[in-house]
Amino acid sequence: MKIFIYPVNSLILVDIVEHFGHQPLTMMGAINNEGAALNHSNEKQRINFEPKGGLTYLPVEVPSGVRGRLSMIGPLIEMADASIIMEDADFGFGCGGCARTNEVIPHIVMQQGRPYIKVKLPTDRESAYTLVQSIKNFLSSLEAQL
Amino acid sequence: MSNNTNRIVVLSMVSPITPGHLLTAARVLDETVVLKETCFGLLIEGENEIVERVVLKLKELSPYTVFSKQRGFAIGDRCKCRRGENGRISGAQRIGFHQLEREREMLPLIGEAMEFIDSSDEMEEIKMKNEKPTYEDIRFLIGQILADEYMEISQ
Repeated sequence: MKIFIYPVNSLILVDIVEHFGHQPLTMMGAINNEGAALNHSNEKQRINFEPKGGLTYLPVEVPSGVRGRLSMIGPLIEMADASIIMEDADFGFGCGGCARTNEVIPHIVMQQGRPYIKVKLPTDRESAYTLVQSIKNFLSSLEAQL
Repeated sequence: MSNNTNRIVVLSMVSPITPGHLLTAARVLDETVVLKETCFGLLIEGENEIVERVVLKLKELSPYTVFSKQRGFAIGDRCKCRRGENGRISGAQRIGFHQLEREREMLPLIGEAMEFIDSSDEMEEIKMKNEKPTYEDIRFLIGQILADEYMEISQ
């Protein structure tokens, strides 16, 4: 199953989802599919996407950084069968583009109406165990629903 | 959509293996991939299936201390790489450094949790068997009990 993860580039969530046999949908995958991974020479034409795709989710007044990021992240959310949201990821900081997009993404995920789970950033052994076990239980329940 | 992909392999801070070991192990596999050793692990670039195969083999070296994710940009890409023109090093911490540093601190906890959960699954399977436990089952259970006692003593 395809699982959307938030933060969209989290190493921990990607590895846990792959460990339990599912496919995580990440920003890196979206960039890779755009061919940017191989485009060394032409820097100006790296990622060919339509920024107006971000207007599907937000009005035109939002900063352009939000629009651009959502035009890549939005399709991932729509493709996903389920989502995992890490609520208090302190490394999800940034300027008006990244931080505002990060604030909007959980709301867009919840509006999709598909299964999602909210987890917390692990700080000690018990919270790490809780994180992994809750993701495992969530993914098992998805498989059982199929 | 390209058939090539990039993956980054990150070692946990408690890993018994080093990035050099990873590089050697990846080279020995003799697959058609581009490899770059870094201070935290390895970068691998190549076709999708080949890269996934290589990463699976590297994870077998130490299953709960080797982590990987997709990377998106090519090895040596000017946006990400510190190497400037004519080989000189340019720029300070590059894009993504702070997140990688922060997540790497948590990898020992995550690896320990995954190992515990996987081993407890195996114990459940043994308990659910209706057959008489074999010598291997008993040996595994004794090993788990001793490992738990060792962890309590060492704390």
